[in-house]
Amino acid sequence: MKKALALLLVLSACSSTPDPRPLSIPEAERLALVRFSNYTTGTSAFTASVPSPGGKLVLDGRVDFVNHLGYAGMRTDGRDDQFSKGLVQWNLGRMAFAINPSTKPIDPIPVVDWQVRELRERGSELDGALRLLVNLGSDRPENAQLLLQSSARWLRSDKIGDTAVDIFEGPKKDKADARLRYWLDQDGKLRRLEAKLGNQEELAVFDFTGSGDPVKVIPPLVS
Amino acid sequence: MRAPYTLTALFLVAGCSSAASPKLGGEIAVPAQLGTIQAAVDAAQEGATIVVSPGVYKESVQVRTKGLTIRGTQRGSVIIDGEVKRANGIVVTAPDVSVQNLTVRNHTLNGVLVTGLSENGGMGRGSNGYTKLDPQKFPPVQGFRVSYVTASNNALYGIYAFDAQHGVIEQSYASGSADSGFYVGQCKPCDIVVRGNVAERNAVGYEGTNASGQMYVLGNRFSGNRVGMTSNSDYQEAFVPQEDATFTGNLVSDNAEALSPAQADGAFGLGLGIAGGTRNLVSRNLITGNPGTGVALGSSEDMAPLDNLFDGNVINHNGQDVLYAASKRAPGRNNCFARERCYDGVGDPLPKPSAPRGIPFNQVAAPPLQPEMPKDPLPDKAPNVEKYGVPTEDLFSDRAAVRS
Repeated sequence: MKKALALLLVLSACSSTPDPRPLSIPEAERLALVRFSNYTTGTSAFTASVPSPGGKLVLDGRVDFVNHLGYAGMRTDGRDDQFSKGLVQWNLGRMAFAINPSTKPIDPIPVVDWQVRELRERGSELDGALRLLVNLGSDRPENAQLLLQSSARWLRSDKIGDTAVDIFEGPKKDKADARLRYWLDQDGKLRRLEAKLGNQEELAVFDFTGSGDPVKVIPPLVS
Repeated sequence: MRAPYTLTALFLVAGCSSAASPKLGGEIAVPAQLGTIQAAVDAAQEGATIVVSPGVYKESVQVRTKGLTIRGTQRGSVIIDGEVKRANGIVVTAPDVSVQNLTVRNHTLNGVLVTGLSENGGMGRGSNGYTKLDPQKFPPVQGFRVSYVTASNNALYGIYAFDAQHGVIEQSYASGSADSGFYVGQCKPCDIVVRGNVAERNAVGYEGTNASGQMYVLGNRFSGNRVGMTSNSDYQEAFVPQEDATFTGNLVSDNAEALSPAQADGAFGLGLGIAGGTRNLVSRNLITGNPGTGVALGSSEDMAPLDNLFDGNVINHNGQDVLYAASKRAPGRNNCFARERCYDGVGDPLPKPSAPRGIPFNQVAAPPLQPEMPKDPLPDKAPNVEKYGVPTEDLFSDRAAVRS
C-alpha cells in the first residue's frame, strides 16, 4: 500500500508540471491590469540584470511609472574599473549617464557631469532595458477580452522567496518578437519581468522589490 | 475530536440544500429579500426580474441565467461601485438579459460587459488575421438590452458588447472611460442597435471594432470626448474587415475635451474616424466643431476603406471637415460623399495633433443627473433608421455636462 501511495504521489507530482496553456478569465484580467497596477504604485524600487556583449549590466534603482522616469546605479558585472560604474537617469526618449563609484542611486542627486543621449530603438540591450522599464506603467488597463483570445499564455507557478507567483507570457506581436514573461503575485503585482533583449540568449531579469521614493528629474532631462 | 467531522457534515448538508432550493421567479427585491444583487441573480429563475433599491453595491455581478432583468428603482442612486479595485460591474454571459436604470462606476475594466467569450480563449492572432471564431466554443451571446444605464469612471469601456449579437444599448450615458464610453466589438452579423445614448469626457465616445452587418448607431450624442465616434478593422479581433454599419442622426461635436483620459494613440479633436471599413453608411449626422478633423477615413494595416457612403450629413466648423487618409499599403476605392465627391487611392496622412495631457479615468467629473427609465414599455428594438434626421446641437443637451 505504501508503495502504491508513493507511486501515486510521484505521478501526481509529474502531472502538476503542466504545459503552457491559454489564460483563464481571472488570469486575463490579472495580466490586463499589470501596467495600471504599476501606475497606481507610482514609483517602484527595482534591480536588473541585463546581459550585453560587454558583460552583464547590473542596475539597482527606482522607476516612476507615472512620469516614465528611471534613476539607478549601474555597474558591469566582473569589472571594477572607473568606467564600469555610474549613475543613470532616463525617460521615454533619452538617457543621462555619469561616471560614479556608487552602484545605487544617490539622493539627493549629486552634481555630476551628465552625458546625455537619445535612447536607441535597436541594437543596445541597455537601451532596450531602460525603455522597457519606463513603459511598464499606464493610466489604464489593457483589454482583458482581447488578451483572453490572444496568444498570451500561462507558463507555470513558482515562488519568489515566500511569495507565490504565476508566470505569464505576454502576447506575440510579430512572429519574430520574443515575448515578455510576467511574474505576478496573487494580488496582480508585477514581481519580476523577464525579457529577451537584442541577440542575447540569456534573458534580462528585472525584480521589483516594493514602492520607492519619488525620482527627481535632473535638469538635462527636463524637456 | 469528533466535533469537526460533525461540523463538516453540517456544512455539506447546508451546501446541498441550498443548491436544491427552488429558484425564485417574478420580482426579487434587493436588498429587502436578498442582500446582494449577486445573491438575487443566483437565486433567480429564468425570466425573473431583480429590482434593486438605492444603495452603493460593492460587488461584481456575474449573470449566467437566461432572460433575467436587473432594474434599479433610481438610476442615479442604485450604484454598483468597483472602488477602482474590481474589474467589471456587471458581466452578462447568458442570453436575453436586460440591465436597466442604474449606475456602474469605478471599475478597473468595464462598467457593463456582455460577452460570449468564456474561459481559455487562447485564439491567437494570425499573420493573415482571422475571420473564423469557433461558434461551438465561443457562441456569441444571443440577445441583450442595456437601457438607461449610467457608466462612469470605468477604466476601459463604459458599456461593452463583445462577441454578442441581437442587442440594444439605449438611453444610456458614459463618461470617464479611459478607452470608449460605448464599444461594440467582434460580431457578424451584429444585429445591434446603439441609440439615444450620450458619451462625453471619454477618450472615445463610441467605438465599433469588427462590428459588421445590421449594426446601427443612431441618434446619439457623442460630444465633448477626445474622439467622438469610430469604426475600425482590427486583427486582434475576429471577423476582419469591419463592414456594413449604419451611422445615422448622431451629433458628433466639439470632441476636444481636455478633462478626459488621454486617447491611447494620442488622438484629439477628431469627430468621426473610420479605419479600414467597408460599405458603411454615414447619413444625416451633424459633425461640427471638432478642432482637428471632422471626418477621417483611412486604412487599417492592409485593410482599405472601400465603398463607404456619406450622405446628407452636415459637416462644418471642424479644423478640417473631411480628411481622406488611405495609406499606400491599403489604398481605398469608391468612398463617396453625397454621391458626387468620391475618394480613391492613396490619401493624405492624418496629422498628429497636439493633445493636452489626459487625466486619470477615476478623476473625471461625476455625471450630471440622468433621466429615469419611463414606466411605459421600452420601444421595439427595430432600428427604424428612416426616422432619424440631422440632429441639432442641443440633442440631449439636458443630459450632458459638456456644452456643444
